Amino acid sequence: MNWDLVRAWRDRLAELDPSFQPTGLSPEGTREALDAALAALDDDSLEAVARMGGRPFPTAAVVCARTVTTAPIEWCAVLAGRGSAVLLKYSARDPVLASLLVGAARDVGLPLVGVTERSAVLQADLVVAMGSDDTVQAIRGALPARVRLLPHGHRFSAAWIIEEPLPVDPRVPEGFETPWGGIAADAALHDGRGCYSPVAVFTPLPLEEAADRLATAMEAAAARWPVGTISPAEHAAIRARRALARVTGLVREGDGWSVHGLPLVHLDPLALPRSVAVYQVDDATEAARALAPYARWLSTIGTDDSDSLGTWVSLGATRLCRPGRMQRPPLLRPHDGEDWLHDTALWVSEELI
Amino acid sequence: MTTTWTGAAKSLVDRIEAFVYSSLDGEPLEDFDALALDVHRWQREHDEVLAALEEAEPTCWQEIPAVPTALFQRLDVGTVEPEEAAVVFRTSGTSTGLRGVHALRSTELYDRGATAWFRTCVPDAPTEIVALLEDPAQAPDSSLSHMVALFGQATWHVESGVLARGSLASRVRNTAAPLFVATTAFALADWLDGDVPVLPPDSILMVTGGFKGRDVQVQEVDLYRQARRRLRPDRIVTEYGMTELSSQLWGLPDAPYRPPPWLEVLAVSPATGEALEPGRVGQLRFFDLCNLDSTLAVETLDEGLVQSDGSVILYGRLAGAPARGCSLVVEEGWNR
Repeated sequence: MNWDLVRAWRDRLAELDPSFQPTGLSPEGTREALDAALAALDDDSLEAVARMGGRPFPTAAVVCARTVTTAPIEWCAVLAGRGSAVLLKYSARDPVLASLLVGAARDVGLPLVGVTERSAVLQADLVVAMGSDDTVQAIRGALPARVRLLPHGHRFSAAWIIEEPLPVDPRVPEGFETPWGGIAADAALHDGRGCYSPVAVFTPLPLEEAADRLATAMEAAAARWPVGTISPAEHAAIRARRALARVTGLVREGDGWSVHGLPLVHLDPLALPRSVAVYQVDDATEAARALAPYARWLSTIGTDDSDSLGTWVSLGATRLCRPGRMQRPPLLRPHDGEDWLHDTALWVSEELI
Repeated sequence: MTTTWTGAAKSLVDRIEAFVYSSLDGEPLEDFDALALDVHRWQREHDEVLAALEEAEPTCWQEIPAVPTALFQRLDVGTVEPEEAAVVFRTSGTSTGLRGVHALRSTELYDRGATAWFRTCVPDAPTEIVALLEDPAQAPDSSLSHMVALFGQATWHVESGVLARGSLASRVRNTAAPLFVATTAFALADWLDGDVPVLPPDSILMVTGGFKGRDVQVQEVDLYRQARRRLRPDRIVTEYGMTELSSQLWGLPDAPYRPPPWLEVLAVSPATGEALEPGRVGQLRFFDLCNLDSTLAVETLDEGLVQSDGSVILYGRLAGAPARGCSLVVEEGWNR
């Protein structure tokens, strides 16, 4: 068990300056993303996982993501904390935070090493990978039969905002406590890429009103966490959706951010950096009906409407939270509806006595 | 003579046809710029989508608003009312599940432009055609099949999306005359995956479509090498076209694409949409005079470079497709 080392790793990472890591985010964005990920590794949560027990897989590999650069942190913490030797598989062309995570582990003696070769992954006892069905199939096909694979496929998240007051939550960034502020903070973290980012916001408010409020919050978020690098295809997709919004809805935009008000018929759960689509609907049921064709890939619903939770559970959402916490999940939660804390350990039924 | 269009549209058709033929003679009867702006003004009056996209009155063809291809999938782009459409071409919809629509009152302009530029770029093309494409009678919404059918007598060897290897081999083996073999890159790769006959002498292989992704050139170089070695065509020609356009560009595997004089190409910054100077890599926009029924300017998701002589080097899709969840990036992390 390496839980003390995990805590030391967390504290060491908090001390380091991640600003110049090749994350594609701005220095402020990288710092915020790292802080948000480390905040999930609070002492109480780590202690709770430690109490769960289970035997560690001797070796575990985590295939590293580029968009959500901090995604491997919770996996590495839990696996290494339990006693697995952890391999962080990353791309040599896109090392993102790998060197920072591995360097900090080396500093404190945590058994976490970085690898760029696939062959190293094939030797692991457990492989954690996120990807499309095809990619998961490719990885599964490459792995020996003895290797346990924890795949996590494509997911997206959305929000339902009715402007209900929200209770104080210390993990929501200061200045972004309102529902629209929370959505803007969620869309800013990781520049809005990743499974937990709100790609669509539904609201019963008039579209102009909703877009204006979100725009004000997006502007504030862009000032606090400037946008990072946007790829040519992402730029083109944002401008294409802007054109669609000009024809069919409305556009609010500023330096590095945009809000596109669109009719429901044009719903497309595409994660565009710092660009959020807003849809005016009568009620949560209408929003859920629009999302139904995509429900298989739905992850999180961020909402300020506690009366709507049943609607989202029925739709298939695997996580419900308040705006501002969508991209800041706690450690103790199911991951895409699956008990990842259970699945990352070996369990033996001892019935000798 | 064109009878489908009337009034101002008919006048524009006459000017466009005159431009097509006079420009091929090297002496266009009028400036591209003036004609493009007149076409745009007429289209703007008859297309609500285009009217909504215009933020300022354009003063030159480069300023005419280009409609992103994504909008063809979601909106009725163009000037043709549903009851007026004689032909409707549709994109495959493989990327999004939505099919882009290009409706035409008539294919007259399309046919004349396509044929004229093909004859200019491939003057010695055999008129016996073997097409690794669907029969236009079975796939009337395929603009590619429609175009190839213009070039001669064709047999068709894709059925319900599947290459008909038997009929294809039989057709090639039983012909002594030179063939014009028209294929997409995907179909050619599929064909080369099995046994293939050697083409008759003086045959020409036309490859279009490419691979939807990055590193297009690397993949295509390998494809052409295999095709030369095993099919032994006299030569390979390349074609670049889109369902949303009415005109095509032609090239060679090792040479840039040549647009016809009635089609201008502009590389723009993907971030701002602003025009880039010739020689700089950017997102490609096409300004096609023959697209009268639809919209003059179309913005693609392709990356390329427009040279000072107007020819185009295509690099493939723009880099960094938007993430759908966490998936794409991990695939990159795994595959590299």
